[in-house]
Amino acid sequence: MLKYVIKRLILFVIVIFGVVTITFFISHVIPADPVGAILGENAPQELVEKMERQLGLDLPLGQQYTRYLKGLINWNFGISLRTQKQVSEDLRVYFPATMELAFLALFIAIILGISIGVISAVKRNQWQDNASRVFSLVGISMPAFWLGLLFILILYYHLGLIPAGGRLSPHISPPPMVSGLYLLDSLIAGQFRTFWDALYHLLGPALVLGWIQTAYICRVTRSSMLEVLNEEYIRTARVKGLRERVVIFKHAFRNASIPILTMIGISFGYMLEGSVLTETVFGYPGLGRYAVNSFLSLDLNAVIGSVTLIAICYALSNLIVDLLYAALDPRIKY
Amino acid sequence: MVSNLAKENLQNWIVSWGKRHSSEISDFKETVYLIKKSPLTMVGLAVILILIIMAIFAPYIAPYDPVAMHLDNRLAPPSKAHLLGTDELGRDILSRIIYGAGVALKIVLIVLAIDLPLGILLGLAAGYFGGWIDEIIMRIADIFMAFPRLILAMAIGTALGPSLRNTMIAIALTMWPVYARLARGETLSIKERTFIEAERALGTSNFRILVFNILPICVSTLIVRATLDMGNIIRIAAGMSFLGLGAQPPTPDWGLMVSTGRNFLINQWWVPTFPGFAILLAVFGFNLLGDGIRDISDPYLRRGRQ
Amino acid sequence: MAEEILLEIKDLRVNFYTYRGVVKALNGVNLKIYEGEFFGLVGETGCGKSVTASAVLNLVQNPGKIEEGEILFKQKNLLKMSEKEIREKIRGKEITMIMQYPIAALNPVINNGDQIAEALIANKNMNESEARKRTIELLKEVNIPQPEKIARQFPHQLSGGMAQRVMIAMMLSTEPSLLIADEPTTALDVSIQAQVLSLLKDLISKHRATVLLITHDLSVVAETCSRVGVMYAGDMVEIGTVDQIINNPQHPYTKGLIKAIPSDRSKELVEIRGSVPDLVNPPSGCRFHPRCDYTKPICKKEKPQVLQVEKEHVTACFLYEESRNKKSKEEYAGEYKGGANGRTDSA
Repeated sequence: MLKYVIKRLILFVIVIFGVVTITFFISHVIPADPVGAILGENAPQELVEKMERQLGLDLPLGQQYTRYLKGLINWNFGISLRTQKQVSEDLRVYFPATMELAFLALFIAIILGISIGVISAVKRNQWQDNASRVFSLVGISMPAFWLGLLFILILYYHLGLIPAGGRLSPHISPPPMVSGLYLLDSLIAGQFRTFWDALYHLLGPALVLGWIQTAYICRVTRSSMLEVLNEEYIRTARVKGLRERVVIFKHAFRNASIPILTMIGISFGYMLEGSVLTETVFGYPGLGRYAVNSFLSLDLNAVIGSVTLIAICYALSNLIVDLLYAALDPRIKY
Repeated sequence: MVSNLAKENLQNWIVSWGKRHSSEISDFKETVYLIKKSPLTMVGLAVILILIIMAIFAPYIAPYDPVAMHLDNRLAPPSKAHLLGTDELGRDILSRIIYGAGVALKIVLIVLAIDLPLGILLGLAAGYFGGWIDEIIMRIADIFMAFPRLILAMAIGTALGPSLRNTMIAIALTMWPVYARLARGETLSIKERTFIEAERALGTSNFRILVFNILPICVSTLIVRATLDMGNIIRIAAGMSFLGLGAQPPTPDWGLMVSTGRNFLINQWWVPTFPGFAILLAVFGFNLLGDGIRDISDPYLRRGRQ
Repeated sequence: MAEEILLEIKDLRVNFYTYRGVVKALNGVNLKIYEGEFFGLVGETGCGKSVTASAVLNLVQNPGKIEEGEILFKQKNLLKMSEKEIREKIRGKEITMIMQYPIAALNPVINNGDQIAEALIANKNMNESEARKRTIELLKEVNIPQPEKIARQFPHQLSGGMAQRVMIAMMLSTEPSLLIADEPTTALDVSIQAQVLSLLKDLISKHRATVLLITHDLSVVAETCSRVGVMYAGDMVEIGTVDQIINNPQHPYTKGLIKAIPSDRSKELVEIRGSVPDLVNPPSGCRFHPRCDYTKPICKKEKPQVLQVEKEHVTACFLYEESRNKKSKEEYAGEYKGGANGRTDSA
């Protein structure tokens, strides 16, 4: 077991190294013109050169790369041209916002996805099953940005159930920074109004992300439950005269939970990319929107910073899933 | 008399052909039975057929030119003349959606046309030769898979410059590891089977074994997987267009239409809503079909239904 | 032999609805099991033995369906009971079952001890610590060395023989009246088979349970059972005491099975030609006729009726009917229906 953990950690480090390298090369080798994007195409040559020097773009590629790696170790990506702030500073503000959103959405998705999936498998081919299959297929087919627009049109404009966007209402100031998660920080500070306001603002984007992830989790739950329910040991459990509830939750679900867990991990990764679209639609100031804006303005340092952070989170969630997987299934030996 | 004899011969031949291929025939019958029994798969098939028809016959079906602007008829609500209304430049939304089917299908086809051969090539090489070739290819695949797909596609798309062509390249670059891994897995499992051992013992060359024994099995597995991915490809491409990192105006791309139509969401809801619905429907169709094909090709499920 | 009937199956029909059509898996099976006996059910794979067992527990799996018939257990029709009633009163308490693949039949993520304890808690009103204590005793009873250690282990850490012992302990823990053993030794190593079988026999006599032993191996039946039923393609073709079946088989299929038993005496192993028929389109008349060496025209047309050979011994074969007819036409004439008369005329 320990050997496996170490092996998996080494792989994690290799992957992270590869990820940052690829990010670097994509942003430096492929011909896009960041300086042109900032200064305009007709900028005077000397201004362009000065800018390139400032960004280190005049150095040979190898040197740029080592500089980048050195910066990375200190978690320093340089200054964002768009916001004129340290990229790492920006990330510290935007990253918790996305985490808050992702965790809330994941929470919704896990509860709904697993319960609907289990019902679907147990009631196979009955109306509950058909309804949940259509619901989840629509979910996985749903373009997140479009669903977000529909929510704004219906829930915000027509029903007034959600706010127009942002993280907090204008008249409410953010809670004192502890974790950067408003929900948590406001509770720590005892500011319940801030807590409700933050939750209110999270509702729209979390429901959009949550529905789509619910669909994924529901599908995996259903199929792995169906597979397990066909197993011989489920028959044994029934022969023993156990209640159907015990058969399903104790005997079937525990065995089905391994693929479900994997899906939850993958879901978390999808959420990081879903957040890009959802945050853009809802104007939610998170990492996803930050990344998009950096991409659009060719803000290289910010691009590298946000992509690296997202990729690390993604790899980390995969790592955690793999380790949990090993802990959950007594059959796996390492 | 002669014709009777010929008839009899033909009949005999048909009967004997049927006998020789009885397992394939019953397999095929079962497949047809399973497709018929799953109405959802049929719906998916129908959606995709409609999509294909729209793509091929767009100039004949579409009531208007998708890029012709009529500034005097901007943002017209749905009416008899414009069933789904017009956009901010007075273009007919229905016509643009019909033309958009071609754009969506083109993206799917080109991405797969890059990824299937690439995945098979790398996967076969990794699985068959093993050793350091395998190690290098698979570690690179791991690294590519360590990115959320949309993020990587966005990064590549941005670096190459936003355009439809670059969107396709970017998506293709993010998807190949899936196919390479699958092909490798298949190759490894086939390689261990006795008939490959026998081929080797007979002195068949590596190349022949790869092409004639392993490749066909890989291809069928990868195609099943590809049908599952088609919807996703459309969705990612639409996402990139929506963010402004993909197709550029005036391409009748659904994602782009939602993106520009976003500004009119509140007062002219039809502008972003219908193209978005087209995306949902297309992806839904592909997912239905992909699910159906996966279920049908899954020996476990086949057995399970007996 | 105790004469009290514990389980009686009457005209049981089970169909499976598949893509190829309706599989008529059980074609009107009749069977009586007396209290305290060891009843063997033999036949080839796919003949419906296991389906019969599942039907008794009302656990026939989808797409199978019990179409008609009665399953009388202690005079009560199980098929008339609700699922809840069966679960609360029958499964685990009155009837339990041992399966062919013990490792697959044990839950991989629950340790062995807990799986047994769970049966005790559910059926014997024990609390957890009582159940744990009893579990260890049960494991000792099935000759498992280091029972405490095995109880803490998971099924995948056990050998097939050990896992089957755990299964036996689990299924006997609640002291059921009827234990169904579905090919209990088939998946085990040959060297272990005899051990497990004799263990099972000892425990049964100790617990005074009745056993329905399902196997394709007539020699296993010969060693353990008192009476045997022979099934073929969803039909019960012959039932009798072990002695009657082995020494005086009437049905050609039973004869074939006996010839196929490997023994030191006969050097030649005779197998039954052909294979189990497709039950979507079962052969007409007697389902065995395509493989039978003595097929007559009537065999293709009609299903043979069950006839008494002697006390406890019945068979369903026209061949027997005819030979008996020759002996004493008048004596049994009353049993025959129209079809049988027509045939007698032509013979």
